[in-house]
Amino acid sequence: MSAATEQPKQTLTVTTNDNVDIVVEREILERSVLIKNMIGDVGEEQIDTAIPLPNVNEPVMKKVIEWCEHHRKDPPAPEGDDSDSRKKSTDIDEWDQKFMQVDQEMLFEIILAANYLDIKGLLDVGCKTVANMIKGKSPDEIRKTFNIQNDFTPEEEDQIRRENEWAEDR
Amino acid sequence: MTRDQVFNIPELFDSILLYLPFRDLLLAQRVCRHWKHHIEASRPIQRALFFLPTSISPTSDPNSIVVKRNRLLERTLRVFTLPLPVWTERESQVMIDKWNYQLDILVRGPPHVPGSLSRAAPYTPSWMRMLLSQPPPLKATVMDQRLIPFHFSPERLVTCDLEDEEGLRVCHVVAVPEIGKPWHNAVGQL
Repeated sequence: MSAATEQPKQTLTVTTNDNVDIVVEREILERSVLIKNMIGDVGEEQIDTAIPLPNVNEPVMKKVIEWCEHHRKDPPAPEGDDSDSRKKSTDIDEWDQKFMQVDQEMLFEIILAANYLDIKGLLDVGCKTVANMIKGKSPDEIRKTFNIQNDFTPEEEDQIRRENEWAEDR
Repeated sequence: MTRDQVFNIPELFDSILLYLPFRDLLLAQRVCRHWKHHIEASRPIQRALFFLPTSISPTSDPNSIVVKRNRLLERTLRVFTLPLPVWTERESQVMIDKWNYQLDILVRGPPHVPGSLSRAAPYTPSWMRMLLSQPPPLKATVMDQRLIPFHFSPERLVTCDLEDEEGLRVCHVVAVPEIGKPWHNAVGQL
C-alpha cells in the first residue's frame, strides 16, 4: 500500500451478542451486505452508534473480521441467480484453507454468521469446507464425522442402498 | 447444536450439498432421514442429480443452449452412447444449437447391473428415473441393438413433454415397447 493514498480510516463499532464492542474499519465491515445496508438505512450522521449484532458472539465475529480484512480487496460478489447452475470446484485457496482449520463448532458458527451478515465469499468458503468433509466418505464415515445418528430402519437403509448401489465405487 | 442449525436451513444445506460431486450427492441420501428428505425435497439438488429437468438457461447466443451430459450414468451403466457430434469424450457440457437439440441414443444392451432388472425386485434403481442430459431434449432417436443384434433396428422416435416436468429418462429408453405401441408408453416394461 502506498503512503500517498493513505487516508484516515473511518471506523465503526459493532456490539456482539455477548456484549463486547469491537471497533473495525468501515471498509472491512462493509464486506457484510447486512451491515452495509444498515449503515445506508440509518444514514451517515448516526454512524457513531454501535451496531448491534444479536446473532454473533465475539470469537466468531473476530474470525469474520479476520476474513474480511484479508479479503478486503476482493471484487464484490456478482449479482444474479446461480442456484441452478451446478457449482463446480471445491477448491479453496491456501489462506482460506488455513483460516478454516478450526473446530467443527466454530466452522458452523462461521457459516451461520456469514449467512446472517450476508458475506457471500465467506459463506462459500465455509460451505466448501463442509462439502470437502463429506466428499469421498461412506455414509457411515459421514455420520461419524458429524456425529449424526443413523435413524433409518435396517429395511429402509437397505432399500436406499440397493436403489443407488449402481453408483458406488466398484 | 450449531451443526444442526446449519443443516436445518434449507438454503445453507443446499449450498453445501451442491458442492458435492454427483456420486457423493446421490449416496448422501443414506446418511439419515433428514439428509434423505432434504435431498428429495430440494429442487436444485434434484436437478443436479438429473431427476428434475433444468430449464433452458439463456446464453449470450439466443440460438444456442448449454447441455450437460449425465456422465455418471454413461460411465457406470455403459448402456448408452450419445453421439452428439460436438461432444468429445472428456467434455461434460457443450453449447449446441437450440433449435436442433436432439439426442441420438444407442441402446447396446441391458445395463451392467446384476440383479437390478428383475421386475420382482422391491426397489427401482435410481438410474431408471434419471434424465440423460440437462436440460433434457425434446426429441430423441433411439436405436435399440437388443432387438436386432448387430444391426440397427428401425429408429424409433421418443418424444417427451417437458411441461409436466418430464424429460427423456433412462426408463423411457431401455423399455422394450410392445409392438405397435409408442416407446414412451413402455415405461417400466423391461
